[in-house]
Amino acid sequence: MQKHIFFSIQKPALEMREISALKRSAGFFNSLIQIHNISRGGFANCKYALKVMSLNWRVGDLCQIKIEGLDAELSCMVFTDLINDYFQMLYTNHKRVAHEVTLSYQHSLESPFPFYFHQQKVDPETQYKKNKILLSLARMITSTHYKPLLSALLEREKISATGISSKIAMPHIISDLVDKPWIIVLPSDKNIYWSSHFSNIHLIIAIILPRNASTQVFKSIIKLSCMLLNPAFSQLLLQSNDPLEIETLLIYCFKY
Amino acid sequence: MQKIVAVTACPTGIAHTYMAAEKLTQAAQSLGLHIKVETQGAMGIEHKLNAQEIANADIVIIASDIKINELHRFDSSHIFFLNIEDILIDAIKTLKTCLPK
Repeated sequence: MQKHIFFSIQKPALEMREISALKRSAGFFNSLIQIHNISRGGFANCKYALKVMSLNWRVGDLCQIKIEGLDAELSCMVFTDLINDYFQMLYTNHKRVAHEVTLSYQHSLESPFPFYFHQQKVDPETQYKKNKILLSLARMITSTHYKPLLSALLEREKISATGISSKIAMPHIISDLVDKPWIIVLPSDKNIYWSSHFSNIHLIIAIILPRNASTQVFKSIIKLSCMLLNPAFSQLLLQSNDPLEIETLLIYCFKY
Repeated sequence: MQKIVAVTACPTGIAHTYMAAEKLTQAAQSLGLHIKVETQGAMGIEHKLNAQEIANADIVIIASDIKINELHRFDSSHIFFLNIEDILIDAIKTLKTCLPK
């Protein structure tokens, strides 16, 4: 069983009491419990205080507690509580508490701007072909004016394909056809050929911004783009199938 | 230390411009090179290169899928035109193609 928790650290280092709380709690369980710094790289087993201490931290870093083992469910519950006490909690995928508990944390992680968020698996009817996926995407935004939106997306792809890493494509346009930013996340079970060097695309993150979007919006999207250069962060998006988790990770990028 | 100046740009100006800039900066740092990257994106021109910086540069790079603004600044420079996708795939390898052998 595998469980995980995301949080961000608000200080340039972990304090002794935090390190010993992690160690003490990890000692109760058989599961392997690791702390990862996603932003900066590096991880340590929570049971080894010295190792945890030797990790690098900076204010705002995205961190993850990763739990693997038979008692993962129970330890995730305990660690969810612990993380919430000591750090800025972002997300836990603990089954029971996850929904009611994390929902209240979502308030503290309000997006700096409103946007439409939509996540669904790539429709098999698209036959996993790029153009048909872009069509389905345009139709998610508008059922009536999707044609000009589609041609704008295709036009952009013609200049250069929008594959951005080995598994992620990020089609993005600025358009008069939307009134609020749209972010559509489409995970795919099958490889998609994106007519770029990055050929085996498994996740599409589409971004459609209104032409009059604020500087704040542009800045946030740029932060997200740069965060996607981090393979550890991309991996989190690729592995997740929970829309709330993906949205939380996106908002984290916008804020930090 | 070799001095590099670079300009990055892309059609929409919200992703590739800044990703390429970040990648080039990281690659230059790991190769021990000095770099300044001008970005031409949705935020307008940032970290704009002035005439002196361009004249003093050992290597001039333009990484863009579109025509950049104020290209005339580089009229007397030898320009390496790089593909943004190549930079995203392997920035160090791509940057090395511009270095003297």
